[in-house]
Amino acid sequence: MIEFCHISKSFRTDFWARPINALTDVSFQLSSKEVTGFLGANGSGKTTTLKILMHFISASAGEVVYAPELGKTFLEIVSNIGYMPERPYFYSNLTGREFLFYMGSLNEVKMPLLRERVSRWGERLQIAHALDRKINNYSKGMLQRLGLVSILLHGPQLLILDEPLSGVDPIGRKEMKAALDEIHKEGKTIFFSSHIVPDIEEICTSVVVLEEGKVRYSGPVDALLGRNSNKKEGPSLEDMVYKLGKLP
Amino acid sequence: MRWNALISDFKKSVVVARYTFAELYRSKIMINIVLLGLFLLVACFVAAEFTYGVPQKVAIDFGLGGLSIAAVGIALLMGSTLLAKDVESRTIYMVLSRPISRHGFLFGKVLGMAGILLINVLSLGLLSFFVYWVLGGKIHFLFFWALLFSFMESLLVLLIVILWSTFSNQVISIIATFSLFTVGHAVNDALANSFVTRNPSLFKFAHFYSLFFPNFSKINIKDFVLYKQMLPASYLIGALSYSLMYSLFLFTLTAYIFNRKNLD
Repeated sequence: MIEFCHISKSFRTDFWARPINALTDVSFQLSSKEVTGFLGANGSGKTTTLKILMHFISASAGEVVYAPELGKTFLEIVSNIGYMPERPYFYSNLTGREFLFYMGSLNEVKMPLLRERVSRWGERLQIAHALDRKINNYSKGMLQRLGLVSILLHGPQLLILDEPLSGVDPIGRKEMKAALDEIHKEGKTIFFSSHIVPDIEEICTSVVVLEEGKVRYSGPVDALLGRNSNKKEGPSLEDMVYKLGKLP
Repeated sequence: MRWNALISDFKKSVVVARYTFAELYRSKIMINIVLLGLFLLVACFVAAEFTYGVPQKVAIDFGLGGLSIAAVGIALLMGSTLLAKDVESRTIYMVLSRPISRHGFLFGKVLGMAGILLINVLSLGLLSFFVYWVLGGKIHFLFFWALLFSFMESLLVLLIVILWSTFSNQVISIIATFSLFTVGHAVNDALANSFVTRNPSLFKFAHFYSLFFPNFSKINIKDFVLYKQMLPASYLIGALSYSLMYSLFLFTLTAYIFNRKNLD
């Protein structure tokens, strides 16, 4: 569905400083209708990769190739994508419902359908009770849920989530994981970054492991663990990621 | 096909404008406008009491001056954080990951803020006119031109500070914009100053500045409102066209930079 081809990105921390390589020759593919985890320690370059994917920043080298089914122009492509940034903060003087209508209107979702989806996903992610409150009264977990609802309103083919479970309480995590599973079963592709290995192991069928801006592994989770998909024995993903991180 | 895309982008800009306006309308900025209005009302009456003969003129002078300062202050504070705040809080990622162009988003933000400035100018302006009328003054059509130009002045300030904020921080953006605003108001007086007229290189510099940098004195008609109460229509239309064209130029330049900016 999306292919990263030899993406590199370097930053200058200030004018006189030497550039720092945030990403080096990053190449991997996202397969359609799969849940792909994007695993890496803090500062490994996950968010930078996602920002390049969403055209928020430009790559120093390489390109991202989008499947024709997503659209021809970038605006068509993003209309088929739902992206949630890490620790999102929204317009604090708007209510949750207004914010969702705002996002849905930008995706040109017709009002009756928008109302129905706000109600459906609001109930599903247990945020419906707070939708008429101002966002500045929301907790961190509620903001994450609101963010997730906002990217589901236009029925995107691909969801890109940057640390969607960070800051969410255990009950909320369970509900959000169940929601992601439900979305996946509807035939959507999900790509989500996390530095929490058990989350990836629990939800994902494929994983991309990024360390210090380099791809250490890209492929099925089971292949990484060297086990059959129906046999949950062998080393844990955490052990394997630790070993990959130790590679030169 | 291209027209359809443009119309669709414009509709989304209107959505951005609507919610930007709603967000700002409920923020503390509106409380400031109300407080400023009350202060202005009291100041107009007090100043009028201290004058002899022309209290209504003093009242309208205070009113138009006060609303201009308030509108420019709001434009400076809102504009300097318009994009930086959205990037810092990552809300810009939520919006720009939707099918809207960056310049469409920027246009919507400017439109929403312009709505707030318009409300500020209209509410404070009408309040000043009311005080002027109560003190026995006669409302003249130039008053409404003065309000329009106060709005255009604040819009120009808003666009200048947004342009600065695309490549600089908040403090520098405010200082630079305020400097341009001050010099822009003084440039016509400088051109008429005998020291400048006697110094050819200085005169050329001031003339060059007045041609290419924002010349706020072109749209400052407060003296005419107060004392002459007349201005040729050609001047008014020319000044309005100048401010509109300059606003368009500033917006185009900002959109060009913003389209290429890395949103780190």
